[in-house]
Amino acid sequence: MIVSKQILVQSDGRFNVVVLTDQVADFVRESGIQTGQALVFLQHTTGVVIIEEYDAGVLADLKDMFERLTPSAYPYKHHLRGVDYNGHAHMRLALMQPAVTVPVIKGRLALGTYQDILLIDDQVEQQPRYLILQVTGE
Amino acid sequence: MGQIQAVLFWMSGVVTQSIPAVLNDILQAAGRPLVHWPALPEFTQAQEQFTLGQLSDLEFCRRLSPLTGLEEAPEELCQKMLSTFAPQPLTLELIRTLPAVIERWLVADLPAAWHEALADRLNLQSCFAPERLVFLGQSELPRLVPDVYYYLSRCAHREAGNCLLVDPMLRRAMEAINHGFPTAHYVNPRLLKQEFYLRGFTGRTTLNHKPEQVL
Repeated sequence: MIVSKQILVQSDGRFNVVVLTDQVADFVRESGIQTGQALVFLQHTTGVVIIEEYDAGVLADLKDMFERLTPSAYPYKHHLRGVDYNGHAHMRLALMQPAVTVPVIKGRLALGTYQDILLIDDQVEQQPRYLILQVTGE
Repeated sequence: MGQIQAVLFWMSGVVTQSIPAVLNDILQAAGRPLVHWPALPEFTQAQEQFTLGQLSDLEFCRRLSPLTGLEEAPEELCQKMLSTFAPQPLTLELIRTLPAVIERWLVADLPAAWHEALADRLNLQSCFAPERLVFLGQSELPRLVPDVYYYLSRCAHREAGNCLLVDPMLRRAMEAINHGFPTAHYVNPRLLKQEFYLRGFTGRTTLNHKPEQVL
C-alpha cells in the first residue's frame, strides 16, 4: 500500500528551520502501515530536508558551515538571469538534498533517540513551502 | 561553558501562546484568513518595540489593526488578545520538574499590566516566584538583540555561561549562541524535555545514545 499527502508549511525563509517529526509521525500512524518506509520530500529547489539533532547550537553551526561553503553574498551565475537572487540556496540543496526516508517499523518512525526530521528553508523571501509525505509498506 | 544555575524562559511563545498564535486564534474565530506574522516586517518591528516598552499596548494594537483586517478599535483588540492568551500546560508542567537548585526565571515580553492579568488565569505563580520576573518593558534597552542577553544575565545575577535561555525564536536563539549565551530554541514540550534531559537537569545519570529496540 502507498499513502501520500501534500502538506503546506508557512515559512519566512532565510534559514528558517521547521521541525516536521511530529507531523510525519502522525501521518504514519494515520496511514495504518506497520512495516515500510516514510518519505519526506520538499517540492522546491531552495531548501533541504535533513535528519539532525534539534539543537540551536547545531543549527547555528550548520548555518556557519553553509555560509563558509556557499556564502549568501556571492556573484552566483544563477543571478545573471535576473529572476531571483538565491544562488546560495540552490547550492545548499545540491549539497544536502530535498528528501529523507525513514524506516517504519511496528507502525512508527524508527528514528534514533535524538533524530528529528527538519526542513531548512533558505528561500530569500516568504513563500509557502509544499512537501509530499508518502508511506509505502503494508 | 559553566554549570547552568538559572533557566530563563521567554514568556510569549514558551510559557504562553505566542502573539502571532493569539492573533491567528482571533482571526480564525472571526472567520478571517490566517496570517504568517513573522514574515511581516511591520509586525516584527512593532512587536520588538512593544516588548521593549517603546509602544504602549494601545499603540501596538493600533499598528496591528490594519494588518489583521479586523474592524475592531485598538482597545477591543487589546481586550481580545488578553482574553485569548492560553498557557502551554505541558510546558508549565515540565518547568515544574526542574530541580530546586536551578532557578526559574520568567522573561516577561508583555507589559506588566498584561502579565498581571494573565498570571492568575494561567497560574504562572506556580512556576515563577515574583522576584524572578524580568519585565523587558522596563529594561530601557534601545534594541532587543544582542542587548537583551547581557541584560538578562545581569538581572539573574549570573555569568552568561551559567544561564540557559529558552527562546521561541530560532534566529534570536542562534544569535544568542553566537554571543556565547547557552540557549535552547523552544519548539514543543517534547524537545524541551529532551533539552532538560541532555543537560542533566532531569533524570539523566549517563547519556544513552542507543535507539529504542524496535526489531
